[in-house]
Amino acid sequence: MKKNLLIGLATLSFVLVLTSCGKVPQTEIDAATAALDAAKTAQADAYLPEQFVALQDSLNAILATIETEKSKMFKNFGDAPAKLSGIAEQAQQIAGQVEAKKAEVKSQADTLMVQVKLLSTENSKLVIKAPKGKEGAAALDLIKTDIATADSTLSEASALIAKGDFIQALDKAKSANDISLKVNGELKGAIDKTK
Amino acid sequence: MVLKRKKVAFVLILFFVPGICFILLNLPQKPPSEKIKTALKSLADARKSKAHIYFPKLFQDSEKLYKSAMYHLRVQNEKSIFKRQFFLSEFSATFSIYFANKAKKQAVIISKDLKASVKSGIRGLKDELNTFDPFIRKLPVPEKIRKEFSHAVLFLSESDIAYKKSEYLNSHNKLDKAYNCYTKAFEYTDSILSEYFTNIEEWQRLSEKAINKSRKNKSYVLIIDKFSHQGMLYFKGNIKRTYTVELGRNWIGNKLYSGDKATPEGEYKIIGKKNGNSTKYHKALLINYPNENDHQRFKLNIRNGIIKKSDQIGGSIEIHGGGGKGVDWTDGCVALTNKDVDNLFNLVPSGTPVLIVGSLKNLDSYYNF
Repeated sequence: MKKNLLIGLATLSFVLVLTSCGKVPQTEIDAATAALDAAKTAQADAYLPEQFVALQDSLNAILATIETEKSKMFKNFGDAPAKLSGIAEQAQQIAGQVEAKKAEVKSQADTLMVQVKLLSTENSKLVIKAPKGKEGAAALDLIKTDIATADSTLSEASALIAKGDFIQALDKAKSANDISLKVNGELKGAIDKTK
Repeated sequence: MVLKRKKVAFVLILFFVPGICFILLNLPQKPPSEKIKTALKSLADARKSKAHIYFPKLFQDSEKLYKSAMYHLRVQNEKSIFKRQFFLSEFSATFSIYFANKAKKQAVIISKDLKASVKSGIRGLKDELNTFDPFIRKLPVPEKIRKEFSHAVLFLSESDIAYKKSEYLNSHNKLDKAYNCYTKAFEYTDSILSEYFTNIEEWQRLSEKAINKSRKNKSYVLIIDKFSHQGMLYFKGNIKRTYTVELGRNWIGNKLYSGDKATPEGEYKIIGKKNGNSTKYHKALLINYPNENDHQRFKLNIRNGIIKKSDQIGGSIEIHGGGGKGVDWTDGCVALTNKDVDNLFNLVPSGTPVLIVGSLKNLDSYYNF
């Protein structure tokens, strides 16, 4: 009787050990998923795409491992909880870095936009100084078109900044800068001819 | 005791043997873990190859199938271990791998092709714009056309920026926009130029005739080439001097009426020399516009409705100073720098023939595309 009782206890302990290994780390899954969602909301996928995708892939891989492990009779989630916690931590770090990256891109766009604005103002002044005769002002209409194109591109960049799309805003500012520099060169060249 | 053991054995046989048989017959199925891992890796690889950009439909199908595989896995995991069937999960994972690999393979090819085509497209359009730029800056084209050209330059810059960021599809789309704008500007300008250059043979003939006359009469002749903005002074059939000239704002095409800001084309001669207070442009050489040909053409244009009956033929076309502005600015006269007009004024007497032509070289020699 005593022997049977011991066997029973041993079996129960064994079962307990097995089931304790097989507990789904739901809290860690939820935390990692929420952290990655938060990073996405912070636009990590746009500003730090490589890091974000790497984390997303890691989370998907762990979730797949957990799901397949759940199919087994003796579940073993091993180091999945630790990995999930790591992902949650990294996702939080990335979300923090996104803000810095966004500020950096915005600052680049702002700086370039100020430069383009100055260049545009200079170009508008140069147009006045540019060679004129009886019909000179009309001839310079062609150059004014380029100035208008650069200005409207700059306005688009400002609108993108207001919408928080700093990457696109920076690209637009770069294009406006290209055109403004070209116009500046043309005007200075035309003015130099008259000196 | 023996009987008791037999009873135990009987009970064991009665319960355990069928139990073992049941377990053996309903062995829990193995989940398709490897397939799912592979599907996930294939999807990650496809994304790395930008399949989600180049083949979004194929990539999304692969993603959907992966999600379906996971869904079926979860559904089966909720069932009793002996009742789980993973074939749907495995099936979905298998097709997810297939689609992801297909998307990746095609994305790699298209990305490579697109990179090469965009690179050469950007370079090609840059060259075309550079070649075309002097024309559009020189020709009196409407604002709308100038805008198209300006936008072509803008979109090309955006395409270049996207290319440098390895965003080849975006770069390709911007390049397309740039080409569209450029094509509109080019086609319009090309049509003006093609029409303008229809008289090239006549211009070349008149030029040859004028040079021969200069050689024969041992005299001066001034040939103004409107397109190249050059004036060539010949003496005894040889070029003596070349001047840069500035023309009327709408210099392209022949003069039709007074105030059209066009510089006339034809065979003229100097009929008056002005300096001092008689001209506000330093020095001036008056030519005999309108001549007999101009009067005939003017009448014909009125008859054909090209110009209004109330239009005037105009006059007072001069070769004068005040030039060197780098733009075409006159009302139809030919402007030289004061230094050049001094030189010309001193060299040529009244009566010197002046030939004004659209161009001396044909259009192809200007195009270099």
